[in-house]
Amino acid sequence: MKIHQEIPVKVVEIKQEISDVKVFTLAPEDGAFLPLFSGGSHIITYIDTGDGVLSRSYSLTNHGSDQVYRIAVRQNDNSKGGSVYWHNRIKIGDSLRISYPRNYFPLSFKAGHHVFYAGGIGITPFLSMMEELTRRGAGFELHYTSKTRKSCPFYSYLKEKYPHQSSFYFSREKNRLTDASLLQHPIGTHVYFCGPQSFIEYFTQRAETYGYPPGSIHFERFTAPQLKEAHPFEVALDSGRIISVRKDQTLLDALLEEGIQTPYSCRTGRCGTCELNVIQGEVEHFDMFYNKEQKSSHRVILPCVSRAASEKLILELNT
Amino acid sequence: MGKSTPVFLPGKRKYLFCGDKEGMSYLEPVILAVKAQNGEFETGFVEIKKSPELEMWLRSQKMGSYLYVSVCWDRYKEIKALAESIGFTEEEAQFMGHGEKIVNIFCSRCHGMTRIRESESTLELKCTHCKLILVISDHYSLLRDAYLGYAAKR
Repeated sequence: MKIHQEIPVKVVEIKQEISDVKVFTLAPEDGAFLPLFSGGSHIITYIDTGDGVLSRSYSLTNHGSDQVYRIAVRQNDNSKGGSVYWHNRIKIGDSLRISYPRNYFPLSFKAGHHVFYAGGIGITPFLSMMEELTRRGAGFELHYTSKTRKSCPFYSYLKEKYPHQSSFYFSREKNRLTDASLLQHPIGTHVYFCGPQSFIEYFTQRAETYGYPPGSIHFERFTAPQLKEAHPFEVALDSGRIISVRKDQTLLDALLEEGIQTPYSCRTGRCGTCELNVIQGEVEHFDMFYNKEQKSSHRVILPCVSRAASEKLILELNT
Repeated sequence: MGKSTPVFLPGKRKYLFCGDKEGMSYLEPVILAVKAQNGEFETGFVEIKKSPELEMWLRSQKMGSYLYVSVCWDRYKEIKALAESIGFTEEEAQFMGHGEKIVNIFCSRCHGMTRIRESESTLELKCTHCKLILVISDHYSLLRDAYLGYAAKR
């Protein structure tokens, strides 16, 4: 496993935001300073459960100079342990380790106007971004959708703090967020999407269809794309070693399972850390890192999300 | 340096054509391509003098618009700067200049600027400020909007 620099912190406050979302405030152990961070940053939390280490990525929701880190965790119906542990086991005073803040979702410094589109718990990165823009005196607006008012994290906070910038859409109250607002944004606008995979894909695709340049479209996701159908395949390494990748595992997991020490970080196809060169074979790309030309070259792959389009890939990986 | 000929980029919700009379003629092939696809477009003529209407027109545009500008070199920088300040990025606009272009040469000794016609540019010229003979390099400064002129002789 790639070793990251970590910061020891303790939980100093827990707030029940709504029924399935808790906000945790983390402060440094021993009064040390926490690094500043920019709006849109996230951390990886590492919790030793006794049975292993749960590592999960969460957006930082407060301002970067607050000297505490705040995260919001929604208890996931399909939790693999992370959010359930955070909700049911973590208490004030508990210690854990976190990564240094990273930002794959920064505010564009070129934008004349920032527009955030959030679905449910996808609001979290925008909280720090809006706080930063407010302090800068920059313009922004928020389009935020949830099933109901009651299931909408930070609804009261946003309504009070950003009454003129926020528009809420509650699908069960017959007030659905559509792509119509994308047609109204003035030139110089950058749009940011965060929410469920289908939400991000839909709005990204609509923005592209309306002619938004790729550089003005930003999105954040914390989970790897969910594939409708994945096929097993094989990879051959420089050494001639053959590794089988099951349909229910990623290429990265298969490599790690075989004891191959290859670097990785985000596991969602965003950061590019796990990039490998492809010598032969066709790649089915699921990342959001490469551009169209790089994808069509079939010369590189991010094994955390992408797979083989052919039966076999030959990788430049010396083990 | 602007592009010499406009390139049609399909897939935009609206096209904006901005130019003087001669410039518009260079944009005609793209206008025809947009028409052929039943695309939405608007045109904005650039007058000799500055006009607030041009700025208002550009400011009123929405995301998904694509701008073509074809003007004489005298107005090129001003209109490009205006469009960029409004928010048109390189991904959302093409700029073309026509006519006689004046280029600046930055003297490496006195830092004075000598303006010459691009068509008359030679390898060497005399700095109009300190009279030093300069070799014109291809080192262009965006900050100075000038090519660097080195001392031609020791």
